[in-house]
Amino acid sequence: MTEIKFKLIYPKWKKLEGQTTFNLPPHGPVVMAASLPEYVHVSFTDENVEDIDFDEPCDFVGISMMLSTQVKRGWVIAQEFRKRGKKVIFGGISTMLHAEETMLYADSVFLGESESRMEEVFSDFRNNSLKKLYNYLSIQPPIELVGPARRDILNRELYNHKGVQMVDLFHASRGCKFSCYPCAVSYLGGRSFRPRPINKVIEELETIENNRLFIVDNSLAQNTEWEMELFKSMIPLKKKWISHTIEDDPKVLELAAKAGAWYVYQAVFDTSDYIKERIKRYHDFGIGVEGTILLGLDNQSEDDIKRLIDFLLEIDLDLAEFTVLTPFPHTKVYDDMIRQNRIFDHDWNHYNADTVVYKPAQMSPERLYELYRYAWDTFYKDETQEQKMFRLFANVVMREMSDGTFKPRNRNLVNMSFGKEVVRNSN
Amino acid sequence: MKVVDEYIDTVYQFKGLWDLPSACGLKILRSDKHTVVLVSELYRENPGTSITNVTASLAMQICHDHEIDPKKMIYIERCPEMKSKLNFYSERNYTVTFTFIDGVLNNPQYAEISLEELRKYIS
Repeated sequence: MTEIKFKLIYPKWKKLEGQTTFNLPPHGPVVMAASLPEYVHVSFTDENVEDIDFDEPCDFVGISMMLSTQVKRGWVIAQEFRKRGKKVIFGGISTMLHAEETMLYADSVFLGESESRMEEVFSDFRNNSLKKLYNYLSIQPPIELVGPARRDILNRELYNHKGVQMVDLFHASRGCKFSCYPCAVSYLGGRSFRPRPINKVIEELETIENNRLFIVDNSLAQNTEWEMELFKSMIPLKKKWISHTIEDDPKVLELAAKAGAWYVYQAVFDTSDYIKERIKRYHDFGIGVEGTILLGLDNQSEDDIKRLIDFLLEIDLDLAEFTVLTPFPHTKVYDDMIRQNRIFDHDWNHYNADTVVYKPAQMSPERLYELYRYAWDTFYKDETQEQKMFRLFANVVMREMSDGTFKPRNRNLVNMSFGKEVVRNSN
Repeated sequence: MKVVDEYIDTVYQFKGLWDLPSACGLKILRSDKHTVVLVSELYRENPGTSITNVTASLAMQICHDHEIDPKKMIYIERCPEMKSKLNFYSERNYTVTFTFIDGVLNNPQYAEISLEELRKYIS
């Protein structure tokens, strides 16, 4: 069968000011690429680390978008390719969140998960009968069909900072049984937790050369038996990994530590003893904690936010990441704000969790932004984000050295950072 | 967290955005003057789109299926108590008004009402 040259693009977005920027290898495009028919040759460009060649020979263009801050750029990219006579299809998480608008800029929009669906799309493309919409939001493919992701499409050297390779992204499940206030995952991946079979997960992990991973699952803490089995099976691989919440059970935490848990993202939403003890329990098992702190919830006053920041300094967090509450479409917070007519900014480029786009309940938008800046400045006053990150990094290096998995940095790339030459201060 | 079902007589299946199979709580009270339609969000028990995401379309589907005159409808959206420690899952109720053009409901406008006002509507 004649080959189809498919150009897959991951649009860039503006990084947040004042924060350490790392470009991680994207996950959505490599997962999607694994579901392409054999006759499709894919060429991938992550615009965050390299420029797009709009004149590169190709038959069909795909734009994969994860963040709301990518969608407007994605639309511009689509216009450039369509001007050149190329058909453009959109997919990915933020395509699903912004589908109606995205359809205005697309020849086709794919909603849902790509496994077992791409033959239809590419066959339609070949027959010049591409549909405007492929709607598989409500029909998820069997979870057994997922993976292994096509990480071979990535230009690995671009995901290096001074010779240190960034973590690889990986997922062990889809869907979420929780219905958290600011989150759209249950809309995107379904309201039931769909764990991948352990043997499939391990099979994929074995193919990943990188020893350091970010397990991007929304929450691994949704099925204790599966979670424990997963960690047990991961132990021999000696990977080191970051993840979201791990179940608060000593048996699970012990297994997670043995399986290589490096640090977790843990939401800190109040100043309770529970949170304090939760952080301590992670640390007791040698697992680091990056607190994720959402500012601007309706129950937060100015004093509450200041107290929360003081509390963070007391509880020995390894890192903290502050975000401003952002009403992403298909979340409860979005519905609440719409009903209360509180959203005043609908520019998706501002939906970066660093910009106040709504009227907070207990303060002005300007005051919330000031407190957000105050939170970053106060938490990192005595030790910068880079210094704290270095401590976590040193911790994983020590662990790797002790179990024989440490790989020294790539000396050929020590003067490069994400594909660009490092400008060193000569003083 | 389970939805308190004091104001739910039946679970209504509806087509959400992109025809996503969705569900909400429904209570309908008919009188000579008007029909009160009380639609409750089911959160985790709703497999698809939220009631607010498709308010006008959902109202049309209910009117069609239950033979309600949209012009005589009082439509109330309800976010029930979720027995959560987080206060943004406490109960909130809204009356919704629409523009009605060419037989179609559009442009939902929300106005929050108190629990007492809700009780007046459904007593």
